[in-house]
This record gives sequence, C-alpha cells and structure tokens, in this order.
Amino acid sequence: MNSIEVENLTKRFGRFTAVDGTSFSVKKGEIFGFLGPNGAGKSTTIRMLCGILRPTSGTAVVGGYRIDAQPEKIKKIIGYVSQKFTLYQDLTVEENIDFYGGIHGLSPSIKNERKKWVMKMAGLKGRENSLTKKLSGGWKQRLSLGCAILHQPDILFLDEPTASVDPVSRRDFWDLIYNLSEEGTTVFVTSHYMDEVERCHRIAIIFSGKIIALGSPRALKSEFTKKVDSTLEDVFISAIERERKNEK
Amino acid sequence: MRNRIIPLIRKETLHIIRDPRSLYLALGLPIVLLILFGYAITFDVKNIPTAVVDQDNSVLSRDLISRIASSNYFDLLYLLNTHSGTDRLLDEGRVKIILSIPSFFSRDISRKQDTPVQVLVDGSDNNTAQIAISYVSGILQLFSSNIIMEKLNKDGPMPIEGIPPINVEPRLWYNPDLKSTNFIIPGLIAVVMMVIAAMMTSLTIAREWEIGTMEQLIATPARPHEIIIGKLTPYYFLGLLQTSFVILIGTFLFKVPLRGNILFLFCVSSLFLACGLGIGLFISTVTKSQQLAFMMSVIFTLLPSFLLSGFIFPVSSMPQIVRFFTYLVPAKYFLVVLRGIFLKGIGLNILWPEVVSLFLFASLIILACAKRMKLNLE
Repeated sequence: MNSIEVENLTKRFGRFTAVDGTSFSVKKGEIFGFLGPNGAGKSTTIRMLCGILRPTSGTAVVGGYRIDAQPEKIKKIIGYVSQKFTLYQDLTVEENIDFYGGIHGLSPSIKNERKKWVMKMAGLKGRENSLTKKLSGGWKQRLSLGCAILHQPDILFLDEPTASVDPVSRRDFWDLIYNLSEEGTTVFVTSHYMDEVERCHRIAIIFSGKIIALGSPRALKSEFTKKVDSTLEDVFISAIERERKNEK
Repeated sequence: MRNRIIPLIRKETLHIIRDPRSLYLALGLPIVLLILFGYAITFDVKNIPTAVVDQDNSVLSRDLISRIASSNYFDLLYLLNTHSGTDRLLDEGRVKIILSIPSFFSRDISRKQDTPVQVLVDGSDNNTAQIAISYVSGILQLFSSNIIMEKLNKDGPMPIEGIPPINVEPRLWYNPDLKSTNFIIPGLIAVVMMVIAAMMTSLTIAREWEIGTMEQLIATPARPHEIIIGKLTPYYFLGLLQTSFVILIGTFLFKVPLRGNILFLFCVSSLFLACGLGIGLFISTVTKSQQLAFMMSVIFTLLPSFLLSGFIFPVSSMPQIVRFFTYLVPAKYFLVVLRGIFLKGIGLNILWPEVVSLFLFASLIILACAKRMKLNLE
C-alpha cells in the first residue's frame, strides 16, 4: 500500500521550473530519501505534498487525499518539519508543545501523555520552562520533531532535518526515525548529506526539478558505478553526468 | 472538533508579554506621541515678538503702545524712535511684527484727520502673520473707535446716550476659551490608535512569515479564520488598553473636557480599532516583509489620518476630488465622534451616521481580508 503517489507533479515560478513533472510513490512505513543539491526542487516538492503550495500541474495523493482538492484533510494526518527552525523561540519548551498539541486538537489527557513522551524522547526533562531560544541545536531539532509528531501523524515530512546538528545528535535523530518507521509511520526526508541518505530504504536523486535516479542505496550503487566499495557520492555524480549526456 | 482558536490566542498573548518592544509600541509609543504632539502642535498664537517705532512720542501714541504691550498676544521687545535698523530685526527673526507710529500721529488725530499706522509683518510664517495682523487691527480699531466716541461725547451734535449701540456678544460653544489642545487631542487620539493598530497587526503576521513559523502554522489543520481571530484578539484587547491610556492622558494631562458618555466612547473606539486591525491585516495579505509592512502602515494610516481626516485641514475646504478620498479614511468619522463626545457631549442620536460608516468600513475590510487571505506560500 502506498502512502504517497506522485504523478507528473510540476511547479513553475514565473518562467523558472522548480519541479519538472516528477512521478514516484512511497510505501507505507518506508523511509524515503530525497537527495539533491540546493535549488533542485526538494523543498518545493515537500511543500506541495504538505498541501501548502499548489502545483502548477500534475497531482499527488498523500494518505489517500489529493493535494489539490483536500489539503485540509492532509494537514491532519501529516507532520512537517520545515528547513528553518520554526518553533517559537520566545515560548518555553512546554508552551511550544502545548501550542502544537492544542492546534492539532489533542484532548488534555492525550496531550499530557504525548508531552511526557516528547520530553523523554528529546531528552528535555527538567527543561520544560526553558525558553526555546536558549536550547542548543540538537535539542531544538528534537523538539521540532517532537512537536511535529505530537498528534502521531501517518506521514512525516522532514526538510533537511539535520542541517545544523552535531554528529552524535544526528545519530540519535536517525535512531528515532527508524523507530517511527517500524511503528508504521512513513517518513519522507530531504537532505544533501550523502552518508545520511544512505540510511533510507529508498532514495530519489533530484536534479533541476527532475528525478534522475530512484531505488534502494544498494541498487543505485550497482546501477551507476562499477566500483566495489562505491559510495552514494559516486552514484550522485555519475547520475548527473548521465543526465547531462541525455540532454545533449 | 476541539477549539483551535484558544491555543492561538494564548500563544499570541505570550508573544506580546515576552516582547518588550511590542508592549512599548502598543502602550509606550502612543503616550510619547500624544505628549510630544500635544505640546508641540498648537494653533494658538501668543507672545509674538514685537517692536514698536514711536516717532510721535505723545500721550496718544504711548496709550496705543501700552494697549499693545498689555495684551497677551504681543511681547514688546523693542521700543525705538527711529526706523534705522528695524529691517535687521525682521531679517534676523528677532521680531515678527513692527508697528510704526508716524511723527504726525497725535497732530492728525487732533485735527480729526485720518492717520496711517504702519504694520510690518514677517510673512514667512503665514499663519502667525495672519493672526498677528488680525490682533493688531483689532487693537487699532478699538483704539480709534474710543477716540471717535470721546470726540462725539465731547462736541457731538447730539447726546450719545440716546443711540442704542449694537454690541456683538460672541458666545463660543463647546470650547469657550478656544484652546487648541481641545481640538488637537481628539485628533491625535484617532491618529495614534489607527497607526498603532494597523502597524501591530501587519508586523506580527509579517514577522511570522519572515522567521518561518507561518509556514509551520499553515501546515497544521488551523484554518485561515482561526489564525486571523487568534492573531487579532490579543491585539484588540491591547488596543482597548491603549485607548484607555490615551483618554486618561487627554483628560487629565491636557484637561480636555470629557462631556459625553464614556461607555459610548469605548464602543465606538472598538469599532475604530477593528478598522485599524483590518487595515493591518490587509497589509499583511499584500506583503510578507516586516519592513514593507511597517512602511505601508505608515503610508496607508498615518498620512491619511493626519491629512485627510479633517484633523488639521477641514474637509469642507478640500478640492472635490480630494474630498472623495476622505470618505475612505476611518479617522475622519472617528474624529467627528471624538470631538462630539469629548467637547459637545453628544451621543448616538446625532453621531449615528459616523458610527454606521465605521461599522461598514470595519466589516468590509475584514471581509476583504478573509477573501484575500490564502494560507499558502504564494
């Protein structure tokens, strides 16, 4: 069963085509990585899938709802962590959790239970009343993730989630993602860190708004390189080279 | 479905409480503006620096000079007997007005002839100049009619007692002392409330776009109207608090009489605040940058409230085309209401057209925002 089905999704800003007719699907419980350089169309794709940006043409079905027809329904079943750190810095840890819990309509008892869970998950116990701006990068990022999964969404969208996080926090973060995936949450994550996307079940490499390679890390390596111990970086480079050749 | 508006209101209230700048903008700035403008803007002309050139030096000329010197309007700084050097006094701005009494002043009067008195006025400040001229001519007219009466009494053909004289007895209603603060403070209250309300709302929304929290917010199930109500409610109450502050300052510091019903004043203020918040909301549907929002709220609220509301320039003396635009300025209606309640003590039975206009403006602008406000990233 597929959580996300994308069909010919296109987004143009004026004459610039940010996403150029991409099609792919993501299975339920899968960790799907979107790999590409800056400006390749990763954030634009994620925003369209979250129902906050209208596609120019094409469509996608997220959790059974069409992004152009029922964005309100989609917003109830997804969690979204955008590229910038977007919790309220002038609110305390607890106030941020209460706010996002309230806006997702959690009942007080569920909210308290989930709050405890998030505080434990993010290692923030005892810091309930700290202002969010005083937290360090790793904590902030786990708190953003916590606020995005308070309402236990079916699908989680993460846009460059580990961009400003130290390696240890990054490892903890990925452990958490695996746990979520094992519990059945679909995770759609963008990144430009090669080593990081390696942990995904499947990867799409996006370049100039087009998907130029798609598959599991292992499959991609054998498809694009002949070396034994090749890395995703090799895959990435040869995929782009092949794309450039095709254009000519 | 649980209520999402309450968490939004709570969150917005926390922003306001935690950000001293927004509290200063809402409560401190109006007070500063009101005090600054309240003392600076005055149309009363008093203590005009004055020089008198008395070339006659007679009992009559000295009588005239003492009348001028004893009025509050003139400050007699120089008393000269020749014209030499008087030009410099005007050039250097040391006096605004020079009164010159000719050497044949008392001779002409005793011969029952007309006699000219020259008044030189610094016309570079035309407002003061006009007022000074009218004061001087008033004093001179009174002076000459006294002389005529005296002569008539002394050697008139008939006894003067028999003629019933016509006396003009002007009675100034609402502002008997013609204090200009009574006129200015209500106008300032309108300007300050409008600017701050529009600025606060447009800035708070633009700020969320700039730091990126709006993107997070619109990816949640919160609906546009819930976000709007959640944003506006705390600022609405802050606006009411600010209104009470400026009313207190107006009545206690500037001694503007508050003759009408306070409750009615607050009801209309609420409507006016809704107009301001609506304009701010509208600006935030146009721009997502705080800087642009700030500039637009100055251009669309400060300038019209100052220039087109009848605050400084009466609407009735504006050209037809400009007058048309004044109907789009909510401060114009609120100003009539404020002056009506403060000075005249009138109520809804007279002020209903203004109240209806404010109500229409507020509903239309908020409806327009609800239509325009698309919560997506375009």
